[in-house]
Amino acid sequence: MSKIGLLGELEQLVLLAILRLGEEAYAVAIRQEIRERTGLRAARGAVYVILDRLEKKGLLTSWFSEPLPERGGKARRYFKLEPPALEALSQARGAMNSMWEGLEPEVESI
Amino acid sequence: MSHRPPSPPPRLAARLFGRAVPSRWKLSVSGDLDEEWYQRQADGQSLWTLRPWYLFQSLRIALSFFRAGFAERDAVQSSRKGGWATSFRQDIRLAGRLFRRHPLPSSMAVSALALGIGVNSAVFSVVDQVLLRPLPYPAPERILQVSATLMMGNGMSFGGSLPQAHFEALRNRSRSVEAIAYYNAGQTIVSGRGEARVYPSAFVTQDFFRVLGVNPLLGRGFASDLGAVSQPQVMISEGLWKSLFGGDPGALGSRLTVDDVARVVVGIVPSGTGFPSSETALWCLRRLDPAGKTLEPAILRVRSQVPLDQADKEIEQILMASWEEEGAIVDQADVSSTSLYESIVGGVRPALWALMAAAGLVLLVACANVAHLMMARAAVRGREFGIRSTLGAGRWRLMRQVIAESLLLSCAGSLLGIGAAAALVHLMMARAPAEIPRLDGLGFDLRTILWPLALGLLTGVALGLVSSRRASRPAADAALRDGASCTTGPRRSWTLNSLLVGQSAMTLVLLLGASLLTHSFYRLIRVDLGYRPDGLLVTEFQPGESHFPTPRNHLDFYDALMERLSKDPGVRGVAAGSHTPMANKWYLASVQVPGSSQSEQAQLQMVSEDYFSVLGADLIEGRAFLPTDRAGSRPVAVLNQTLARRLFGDAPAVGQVIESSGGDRRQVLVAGVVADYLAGRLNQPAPPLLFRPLRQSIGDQDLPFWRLGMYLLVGSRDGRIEELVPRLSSAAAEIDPSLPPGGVSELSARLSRSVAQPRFYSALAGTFGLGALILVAVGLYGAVAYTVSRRTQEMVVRLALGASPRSVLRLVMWQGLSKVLLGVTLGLMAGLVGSRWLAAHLFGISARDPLSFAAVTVFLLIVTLAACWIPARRATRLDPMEALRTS
Repeated sequence: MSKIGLLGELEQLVLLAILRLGEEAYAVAIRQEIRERTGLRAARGAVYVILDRLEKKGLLTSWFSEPLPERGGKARRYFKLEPPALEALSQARGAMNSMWEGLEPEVESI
Repeated sequence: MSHRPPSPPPRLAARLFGRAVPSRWKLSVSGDLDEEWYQRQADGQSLWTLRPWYLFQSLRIALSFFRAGFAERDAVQSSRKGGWATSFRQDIRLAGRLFRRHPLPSSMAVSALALGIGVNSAVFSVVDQVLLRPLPYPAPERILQVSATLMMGNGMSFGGSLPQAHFEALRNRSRSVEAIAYYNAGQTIVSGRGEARVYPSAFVTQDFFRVLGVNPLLGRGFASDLGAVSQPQVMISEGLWKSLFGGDPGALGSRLTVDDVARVVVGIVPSGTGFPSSETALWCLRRLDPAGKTLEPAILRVRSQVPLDQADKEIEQILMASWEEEGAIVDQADVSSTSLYESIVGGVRPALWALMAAAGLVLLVACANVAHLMMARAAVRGREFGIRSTLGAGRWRLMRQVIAESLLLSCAGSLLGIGAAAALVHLMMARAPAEIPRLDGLGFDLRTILWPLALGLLTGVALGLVSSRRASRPAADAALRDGASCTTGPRRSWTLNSLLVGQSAMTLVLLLGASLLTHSFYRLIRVDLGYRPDGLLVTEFQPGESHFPTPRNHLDFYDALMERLSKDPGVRGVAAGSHTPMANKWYLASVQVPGSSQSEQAQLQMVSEDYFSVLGADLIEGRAFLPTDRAGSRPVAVLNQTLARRLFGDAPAVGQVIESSGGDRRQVLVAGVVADYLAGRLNQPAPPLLFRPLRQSIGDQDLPFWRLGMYLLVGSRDGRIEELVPRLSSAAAEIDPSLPPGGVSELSARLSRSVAQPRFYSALAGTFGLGALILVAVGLYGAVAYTVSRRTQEMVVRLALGASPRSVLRLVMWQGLSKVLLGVTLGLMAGLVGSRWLAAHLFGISARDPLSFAAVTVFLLIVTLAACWIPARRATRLDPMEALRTS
């Protein structure tokens, strides 16, 4: 296992949303993406705290856009995945898959 | 078509961010929120819903960052230094070192806190003892006090206690009443064991201690079957047992002479359970005359399985039914049963909570003072914090340092506060009026020690949080600049100034309360009574019906006693009456002028001939009663001024005829008018009074003085009252040896007791107000001195450029004075609103008494001026060259 440790659920969702949004990944869009795909309403504060943490862990990088009039002249902060993020995601998925192995019929039968 | 530009988001949110969101996130997070804000506005959402949404979201985001930040920093630091506890110990050590280095401000802060915490704890221990602790009886909520007000068909009414017929009805018929008892408090003389002494005592019926649920410490207590009792019985308090018998169990069964009657001691009452007063030392068993007409306070205990509301209903039903049986005279009855707790403490509760609030204000003022000192010190230490922050100390680390300092201060404060509280409690015990119930058990125990400690901890943390907020955010670059006073920005001044404003406002409120109470107390003790209480003794006998089967016998007894006493060389005069001033009984009659449809309610009193002269009330018209005003002669009355004015206006009343209540509306001749005197409490105006001659009440059903008991007023000639008391008792015993002794008291002592409570409250409020005033003065002094030290450079430049010392003095003083003026304005407004809560405790002045308001304002301003002037003067004495060289 890498030094980063296993990703949390919301961390995975945030990383996957960034991956999906590509060039357009900033906090509002990320929340929107998670909500549209999963129906989950992630708290704004939680998303920011996770983005901050992931960036500090080196899984993300960010940059600022030009000031935008629709934001009262403030810039957007865009995010992009770094290679360790992809590694961490696949590790998380692998861990989940191995835990699920053989349990699907049992869970579905309930 | 014109578009309105969209509204910008609320600014307050930016402040919320400013506190908690890391700076690298501020721009993008607020941008994201703004984007949604403008989007929602474009979607047509109203600003009324949008603004709260925006604020709420900002708060949530700020909270998330705040929580995450603390969790992270804590994890980092504890991994680095081996735990939170270790570094906290370091903080405390550092704080201790700091205090040793600056002993004066630290000890000032500790004394301020000790004062605040001490006052608070002392008042809390009183509130705890009087209000919060349950009564010392099992299931105290089941003990009720019953009293009744009777309105008779003939227009008269009386009340305050429970007539014996209804007492019996309750005892015999009620299923919910377990036990019921009469009690009558008074004083008795115990003789035969050493020197004769007067003790607070009670005459009680046999079930008294069953009602309370008190088991004797020793002995069996009063017999439940009175038929088997051959000798009068008495139970004594544990205290009396120890002082009279040295705690010897052999006391049981021995005889004690109580008011010249030998009584057998049948039980020792454990200390702390005394009732009606905690000081009651003896409980004498009394029998109820089956045909008696006793009218006294009664208590009862409700059976444990009966719900209280059901018991209430049953008691009311039984009393009503019993009144209906009495039919002919009772027209309407009003029963009240209150819990014993309520009847004991109900009267003092509002005042005690008000005191608690006042003590809370003192603590707040003290806290403001300390916050002040700490912030001033933090400002001086801005450089130190800047360096520590630059070297990598996190914000939480710096905050913790300040919190540790304030905790150390408050712990020292609360330890000293415990001492201050102990002294204050001692003082209050010595000065507290007897009317404040349950005070005797007041002392220091775990609860009263935990309270100041908890208060200290709480104030320590709160103060630490307040003063650490800014101390922990030094602008490192500015702090490190040489000689810069970096942390004295406008925000810090704002906090310091608002502390000063708040402090002065609170002090003004406290002083105002104290001044109103003191002014009112002054009015109360200077009130014109209308009679002369000095040297007057009041005796009340409560003979049973068996003693005096007819009113005639009753009167004969008093005549004989008066005659005997009037021969005593020490007696100036003696008179009998159905009432005395401040007796808590009343008997109403309706009076009218014949032919008029309007009647007046007046308190009816039956008095003997010399009553007015013995009391010292002035007769202003006509005559007093004469020995010839007896049964069969023409009915006469004396009115007081109030009643005379109500009935006849300014016309002379003497010689007029009035109709007093009674079925036949008997006509009564007005023989005289007596000047108004305060017949009830001091804080109540003179009620309309109708006096009738005692002797005419014989054979007159409308003048049932024997239902009310009788008082004897004895005027002493030389003021040596204490010598009169035994002579009075023995004279009564000589006439009728079997008469239960009456209670004896001095009228002036009663008066003094009746103002003991307002005296106590105004003294306490005054102490609190002065304490707060000292704190504010010290705070102001510190604030102005701090300003002077901070602006020394500016001052010397001003002086060097030709400013006069006077203008510099004005400038500096205005610094302090302006805050106090604002505080005084706020305090006056709060006082105008809040003083009406005091109105119930005020006498003779309005709750907005201009004199009190003005005096307090002027007083506070004078103290303020003095506190500002001393440090400000220093500014004017600066030598420019010297100051510039050293700075």
